[in-house]
This record gives sequence, C-alpha cells and structure tokens, in this order.
Amino acid sequence: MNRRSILSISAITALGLTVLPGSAVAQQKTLKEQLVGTWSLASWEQVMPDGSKVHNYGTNPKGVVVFDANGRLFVMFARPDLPKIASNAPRTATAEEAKALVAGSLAYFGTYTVNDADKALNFRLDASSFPNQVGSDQKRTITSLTADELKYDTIALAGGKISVGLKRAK
Amino acid sequence: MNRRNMLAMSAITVFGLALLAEGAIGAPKAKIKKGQLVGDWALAGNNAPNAAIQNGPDDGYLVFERNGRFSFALLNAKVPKFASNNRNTGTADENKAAVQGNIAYFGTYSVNEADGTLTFHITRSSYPNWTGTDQLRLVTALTAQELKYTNPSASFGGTAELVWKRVK
Repeated sequence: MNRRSILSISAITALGLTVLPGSAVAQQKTLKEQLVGTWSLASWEQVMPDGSKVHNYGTNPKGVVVFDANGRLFVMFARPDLPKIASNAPRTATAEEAKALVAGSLAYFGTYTVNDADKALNFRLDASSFPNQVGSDQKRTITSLTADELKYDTIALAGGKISVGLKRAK
Repeated sequence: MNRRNMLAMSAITVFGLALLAEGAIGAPKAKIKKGQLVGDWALAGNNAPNAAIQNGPDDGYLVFERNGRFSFALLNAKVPKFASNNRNTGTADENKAAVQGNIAYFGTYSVNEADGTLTFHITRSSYPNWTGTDQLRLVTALTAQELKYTNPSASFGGTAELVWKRVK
C-alpha cells in the first residue's frame, strides 16, 4: 500500500466516523425539537364510544398546526366545503350558515409542552374560536412521529377518541 | 388615439389609482422588508371606528414564517360559552356570536417592499368567502417590536387598523 492510498483510507475512515455520530445525534433530538415547525392537517377522525366514526371536518380536512421553538402553538382546522356566507359579511350570516361554520371550523392559539417520557403533549389554549375551550389544557398523546408525519390522539369532551394526522409542511 | 396619448392616459390612470389608494388609507405607508415580519406577533390593538359591529375581536395571533407561510387568528374572548359544551349543538344565538366574533385563516404571504403593502394569499379561512382570495394590507408602521397595518375592507365591515406586538 503506497502512501497516497493510506491517506485516502484515513480520510474515508475519518469521514465515516464523523457521519456516524451525526446520525446518532439526530436520533437523540427531543420530541419538542422534532415537533417544531409547521404541519398540514392530513386526517381527523373521531371514534365514538359505540364504535361509529365521525369526520367533523369531512374526509379531506384542511388545516395547519404551528409549533414554534419558543413554545407557542397555533392551530386551525376546517372542512374543505364550508358554505360561503351569502350576504358577504360574517355579522349577517344566517343561522344555518353560522351553524355550519361553527361546527366545521376551529382555530385556537396558546402554548404547548411535551413530555418525552410518556409522549404526552399538552396544549394550553389562551384563545379559541370555541369559547368553551378558552383557558383550558388539552391533553394529546403522540402515537407516531417521524420527520414528515405526526399523529396524536385525544379523548374527546363529548366522548370517544379523536385521532389527528399531520404532514410536515415544506 | 396615438401612442403618446395612450401612454398619458395610462399614466393618469395609474396615478389616479395610487391617489385613491392613498386617500383610502389616510396614513403614510411604511417601507418594509419581508424579513422584518418573520416571527410571532400578538394583537395589541384593533381599531375599527367604522366597523358595523361593536366589541370586535380583542385577542389575536399572527405568525409569519421564513418559508413564506403565515397563520392568523383574531378571536373574541367575550363570545359566550356554549351551554351544551358541544360545537355541533350550539343555539342560533351562540353560533351567531361565535361567527361574528372570530376569524382565522392561513396561507402564504408576500410583501411589496417599496410601497409597504402586505398581501395574504389565503389557502383556507374560517370565513369561507375569503378562501382562495388575496387580501391586501397597508403597513403603516413596522419596527422590531411593533407592526401596524390597515385592512381597507375588513370582514367585520369598514376599515380596521390592527396593531401587533412581537412575541418573544
């Protein structure tokens, strides 16, 4: 083996060793570090105590979840087929329009914390379009988290379990 | 009409529209850089003197991301709770108050750095008439800590000036 080959092999070995710890560190990210960023709603399903399934935002729900590095949270979910307000003003929505908009969309913001040990995610809602949630703590359990996908479950106020699926927004 | 006349007419039209816009705002526009917007903002003031409803939204949050996405919610803490504790079974009055008091949307944003305009390209809104539309905002002040802009046609009627403070 000549001197040049030895140098090449050393270089390759050194490179290999630097790559290995790099990926090991990536895997040691905290759950919070993995959550930070913007996610698009991919699925939302509620399984009722009797086993029936409800899709509050339809089968093709639209929405966004933002986890900021500073611990702030923003969430908005909506049906893709919310009815337009015929009068072109929210203040003059008809009773039917208002009912459909309230049932079919939700927005809230506040802060979040995450517990790595039990994969528990807590949302504290400083404000919500559904007034009953204002000031409340909402617990979710992370069931799946990869670079591109996040899934969490929550126990619904009205009974049953809600499963939310999100894709990372690029 | 010859070419020179056409040019003159176009110039007058553009100038006229610019005057109209200037008159509609009634406030100087700020020079802004897109990067200055990036971050989180909390609502500090909602001045809508000619809005059609009283007691408008008083709580808001706005996130501008570096990648061009934004999220916006303007909510009203005074909206009464639903007696049924269920969004699907609100009374007509409860639903009406919630729709009047809250608006949220998300999408992408762009800025015209020269004339201080900010455009929300709305992907989805709780006020569905705005879904898929572009909404222009006229930035009147932008510092490290404060953002002020005017909405020339607020969903709640009239014009609105929103004041935001940067969230740490």
